[in-house]
Amino acid sequence: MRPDTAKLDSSSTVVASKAQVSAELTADSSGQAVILNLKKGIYYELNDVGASIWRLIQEPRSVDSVLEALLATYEVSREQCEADLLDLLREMAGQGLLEIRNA
Amino acid sequence: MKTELKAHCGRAYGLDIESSLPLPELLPGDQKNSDVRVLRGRVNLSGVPAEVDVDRFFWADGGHACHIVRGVGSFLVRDGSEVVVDAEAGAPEELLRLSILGPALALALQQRGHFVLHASSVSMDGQAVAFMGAHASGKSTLAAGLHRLGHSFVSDDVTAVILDGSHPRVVPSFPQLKLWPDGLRQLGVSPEGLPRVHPQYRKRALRLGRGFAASPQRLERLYALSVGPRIGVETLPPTEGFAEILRQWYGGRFGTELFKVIDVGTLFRHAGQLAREVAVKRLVRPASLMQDSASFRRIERTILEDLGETSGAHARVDEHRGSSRDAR
Repeated sequence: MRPDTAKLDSSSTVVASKAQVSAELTADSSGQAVILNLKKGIYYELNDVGASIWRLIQEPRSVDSVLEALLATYEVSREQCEADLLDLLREMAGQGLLEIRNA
Repeated sequence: MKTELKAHCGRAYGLDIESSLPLPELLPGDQKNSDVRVLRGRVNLSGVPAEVDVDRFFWADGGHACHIVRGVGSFLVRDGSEVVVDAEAGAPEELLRLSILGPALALALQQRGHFVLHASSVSMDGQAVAFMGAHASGKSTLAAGLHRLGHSFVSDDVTAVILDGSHPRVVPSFPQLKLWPDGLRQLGVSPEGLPRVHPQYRKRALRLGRGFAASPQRLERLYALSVGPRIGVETLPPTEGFAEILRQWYGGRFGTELFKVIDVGTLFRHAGQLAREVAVKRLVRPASLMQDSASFRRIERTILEDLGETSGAHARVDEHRGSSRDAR
């Protein structure tokens, strides 16, 4: 399914794509992670925040609920968090790492 | 009357190896058991792409992996249990053994489910450390130096890691290291007194008579080697430790062919598991160590201090237990 990044907003549902494999790099799964794009044969590094977002979207989830989970964890304004989150999700979709499902 | 050729039995990496070629480097093996057979035979290369003008070539197909060394022979490794050696006419046995006990055995170990690293390792008081690095990075010299200080030798160049439900463990290989003359001089050993790995190679074979680990050892550290003015250990972000593990995965030396037959996703997850369960750090030391044992003592002390973060915790638990007993 071709990722349509133009249609990504808070009401979209996102889920990690099946064409990837990922690995946690810390024992308590609270730190960095890496994702292997099976189609392209390249891998990506996620910092702590990126990894926590990645963990949240292993099952289909609305962008809004991911945002709420982040706001409960991190000290950041809603506007900043939403902007950063959408940026990251768009980048992941562009790389084929996640699927966007719109209603 | 049928004449039976006596097979040579040896042991390495926890495997009983039955071989039609002598493999004197190995430990004595169990004649009644055979995990891996090494035999001379014909390797059918008709399915391999047309000749490429390189010294080493590699192809893989299903449970087979073949490493070809021009001028020496082809080594077909099947299902982790068989190595077929198709030697070129006149190929000396020392060169055949270099390939059998190096890349071919590494492929067999990979096929048997181990995570194989381009690394050398020793065990210090039951805690194994592995030094990862490319050729001539000094990993063999480090392992040999620590062995001379009394620590148990585990592996040189091909390090097999068991990744299962328990903590990762390295498997004892066989009691030999291959060392460059410079490395030997740093250890205070005269290279001229040791056999060459092959008449045309500069490396010498150092066979160990004692201090060889008897069983798999708990892997506590993976050290990526680098050069710097002072001896020290640097922590690495987990993503860098992961990258180092991938970089030193032994299969990488065969180019991309091996990826056709292995499950890359599984390799990736195993590398992640290793990075998660074993601390990966950078070990820095000067390029040319002084030619005395004091340098190796300093490295030994640096590593023990780094390991002390782990064993210190064990010691505190033991002290607590001890005091509880005393109170009774």
